[in-house]
Amino acid sequence: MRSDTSMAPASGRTWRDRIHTQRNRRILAALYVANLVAMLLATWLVDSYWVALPFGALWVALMVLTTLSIRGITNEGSVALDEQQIAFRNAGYKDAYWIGVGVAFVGGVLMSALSDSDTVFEVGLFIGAWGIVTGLPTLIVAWTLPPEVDDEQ
Amino acid sequence: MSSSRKGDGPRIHTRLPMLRVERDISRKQLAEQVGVHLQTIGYIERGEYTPSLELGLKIAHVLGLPVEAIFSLEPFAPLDADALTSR
Repeated sequence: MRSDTSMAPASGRTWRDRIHTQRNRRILAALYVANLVAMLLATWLVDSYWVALPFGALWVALMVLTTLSIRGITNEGSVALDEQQIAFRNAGYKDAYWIGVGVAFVGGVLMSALSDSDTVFEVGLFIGAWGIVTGLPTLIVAWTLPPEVDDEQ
Repeated sequence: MSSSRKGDGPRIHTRLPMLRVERDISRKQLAEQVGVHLQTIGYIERGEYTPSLELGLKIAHVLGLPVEAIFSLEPFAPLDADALTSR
């Protein structure tokens, strides 16, 4: 946020500093999507609700880490952000809208096509699509934010 | 100037990195003086983000220069050419 301007020297960086690098942000975003796809496959292959549990736990952890990696700008109100953060946050939500519409459409078509299939997979599909759509603004910002700068001269 | 991400608006050229270093001001110090995150200053310097007119004027005030000396829609002439023409 605006007041969070502290950066440790490169040699003494903590994990909370390293999580903001563009590479790590993109890794987290990719893991987030991969985890939901894996959950979807697992619910397709295994006819048990319990199979989704570890993926769900990992989903929560990845959501928290991805949000931390972008300094929480998609969850903050405008008062707590500066204009650059607001611009990237708004662009993330704007881009997420159309991708979300596409995901919802494909998910809806799949759900209706699979209406006679097993319920576990349907629930997995619903949770997977919901997880993607709710996380999209954060994922887009995590992917599109430029590499960060150090506070050197 | 309206604030925007790179590619969302006109390309703005800036001399901010050079002017900031000349004045021995770190990104963090400048960020604190104008009330933004230090990454915002870094993105402006790299052309990844175009500041609003308000932020541009605040930066100009801190550096003690008119805003057009820091930001331009056209590429800045090399400094040596500036120096030669001003003699």
